Amino acid sequence: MEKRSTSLRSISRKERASANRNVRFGPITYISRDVWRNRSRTIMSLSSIAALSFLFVLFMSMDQGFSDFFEDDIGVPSDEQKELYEVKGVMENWVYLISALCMALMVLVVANTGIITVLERKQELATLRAIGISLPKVATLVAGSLSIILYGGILIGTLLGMACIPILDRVNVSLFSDGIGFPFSFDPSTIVLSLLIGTGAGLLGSSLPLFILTQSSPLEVLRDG
Amino acid sequence: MDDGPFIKVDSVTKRYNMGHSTVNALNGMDLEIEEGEMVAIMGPSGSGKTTLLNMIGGLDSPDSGTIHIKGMEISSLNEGQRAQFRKNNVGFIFQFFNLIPSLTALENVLVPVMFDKDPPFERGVQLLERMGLKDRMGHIPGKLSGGERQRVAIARALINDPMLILADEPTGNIDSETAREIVSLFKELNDEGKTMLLATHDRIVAGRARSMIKVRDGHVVKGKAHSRSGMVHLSDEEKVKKKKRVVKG
Amino acid sequence: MDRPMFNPATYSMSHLVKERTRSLTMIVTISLTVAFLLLTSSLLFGVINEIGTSEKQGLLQGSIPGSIDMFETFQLDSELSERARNSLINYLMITSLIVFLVAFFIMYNTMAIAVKERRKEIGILRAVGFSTGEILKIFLVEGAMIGMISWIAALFLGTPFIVNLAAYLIERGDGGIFFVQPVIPPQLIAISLAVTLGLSLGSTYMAIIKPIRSSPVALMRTRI
Ligand SMILES: Nc1ncnc2c1ncn2[C@@H]1O[C@H](COP(=O)(O)OP(=O)(O)OP(=O)(O)O)[C@@H](O)[C@H]1O
Ligand SMILES: [Mg+2]
Repeated sequence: MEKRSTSLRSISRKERASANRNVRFGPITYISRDVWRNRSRTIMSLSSIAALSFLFVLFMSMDQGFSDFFEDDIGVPSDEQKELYEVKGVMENWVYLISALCMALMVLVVANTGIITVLERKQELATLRAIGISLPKVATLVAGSLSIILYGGILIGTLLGMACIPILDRVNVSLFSDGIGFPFSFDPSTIVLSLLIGTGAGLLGSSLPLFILTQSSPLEVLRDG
Repeated sequence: MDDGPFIKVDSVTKRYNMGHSTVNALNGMDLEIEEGEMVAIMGPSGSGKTTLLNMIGGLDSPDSGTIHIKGMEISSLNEGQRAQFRKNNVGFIFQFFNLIPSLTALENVLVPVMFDKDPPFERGVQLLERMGLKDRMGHIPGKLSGGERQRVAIARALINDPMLILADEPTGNIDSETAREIVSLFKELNDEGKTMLLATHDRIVAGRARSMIKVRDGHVVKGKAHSRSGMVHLSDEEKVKKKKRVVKG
Repeated sequence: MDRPMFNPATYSMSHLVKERTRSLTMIVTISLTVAFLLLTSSLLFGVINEIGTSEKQGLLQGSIPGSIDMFETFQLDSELSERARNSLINYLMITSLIVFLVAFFIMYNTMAIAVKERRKEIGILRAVGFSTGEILKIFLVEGAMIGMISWIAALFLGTPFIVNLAAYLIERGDGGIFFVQPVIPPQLIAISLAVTLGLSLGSTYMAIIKPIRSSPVALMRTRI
């Protein structure tokens, strides 16, 4: 009995040295385990965000492409240029519309993923709080998982967009009738813009799940799910 | 150390509103527990055992009355302070284990300290070894038996070396043989100076605790609250032994 | 009868009300998507319509609350701008497809968690003698209700909103008005209903079919 009590109370230097040195566990591990555990859902949310930021990049580049197209030669406009100029005005508007739609859907994806996270893991998050992890730290863990999905998605979508834009430039996309090839050009500031829009959507979308989290009690830990 | 008792629950009440009716979960609860005790709390379902443990552990706050632990009033702490209090002073053991399914046994043990600057990793390993789970450290809870899960949960409760361990029906979900092992483990911990409170329906488990109180309708009915001599069933000799050990540690 | 009898519709309805946040998320998602799909396909119908006749007419004029006639002054100048417009509509179709997929993901996610939270309930229903098919029906009724509510919301609130937004944006454009008048023929309304129900029922089915088939015992065991 004496031996046991020492083993618990004081750990000798020798024992410390012999203990497993590879063990590392912190919030990062926790978050990555969480993201990995729900991988099918993570992939879905991530690819949704990626698709939306791809659309955003696509339409921004379309807009930019038109601008560049008219900047190139300012001389006497050709008939084609005149007509495309008409299109340009409309194009800008569609860019606004699609961006707003992307933003709204991104907010929904983040909110949806976040609500699912806090509801599904109600008990787990309450356990964390019951064993002494403070609410702001638990919120950090949830926000960490959401950020991985959000910024991972934006990164993939933007890279995909950057890869597709040179291909789409002046290629005639025609599904059902004759069309013309739109000029596309990728402006690096789009990356900053999509990060900004994504962050805005993330803040907006995560506010509801984080609010739900703050309203819940650590006593949830006792409920039999 | 302080002169007063280790745990002092003073006329605590707690009401829950259930739609139109209110439930008096705790109704003028008075209780004093000395340091180094191992107390079983028994009583019929709904008598307020869980509520009492939650109050003492700082998970919940009373409507009226005070709770002092080691002279510190915990009933008036705010949520952040209570989290800090739980982390440093209380080890919780739950009926349903409440392990985190995606983490390995060792990681589960380390969860309470995961935000610490210098987390005691080695201590986690040692605790699991002590629980007899040396070759189970890398397993997720889903791959462990009920008894093993509960031992992981006990190791987790011990990671911060708390002075107080609260177990709410710790053997409610495991077979009686394993339950006996778990109780022996609790006794060992108690021998090392930890104050243990167990709420239980199991007579065998309660019988192996050092003392017992009975709760009904939110207050202590039988027992030994306030009477320090009656509270402890240990012989004086054993008591002295235990004190020595505590001092040594 | 020695097992509980109830009406799946009221049962589902009570769940929808109880899980307000979740239902609302789904309804907002679906109605936004359907409204957008309606807009793009109404433009498509507008183009198809135009090929036959030079007259521009559509349901939009006053038939949907809140809509305004914003494409009235539209004039098709030349073949080129028609082709440019077609290209734009192509891109919008691609966008619609992506939006549809994203909506499906959101719906599937939401239903999957709803099912997961109700695993125990499903287990109990199975244990007291409900068949897989009957439980499937309960969930599908719930999905269909969400679909119907969203569809109505999309038709009467979403479409005028998006159409007006488009109108506003197009009016702000510096170039002259270039577009086609959207047309919403009756068959489009039917198609949109089918799409909405497909979206909600499909995602519900996908989310429920695997868990519902596991054994009642496994379903009722929830804790680790
Ligand atoms: N969160 C809550 N909301 C409403 N009522 C509650 C809540 N928690 C406890 N109660 C009520 O308070 C009373 C005491 O509950 P408590 O859980 O403390 O009993 P218990 O002695 O632990 O019972 P058991 O042996 O069944 O675990 C019960 O009547 C219970 O219904
Ligand atoms: Mg209880």
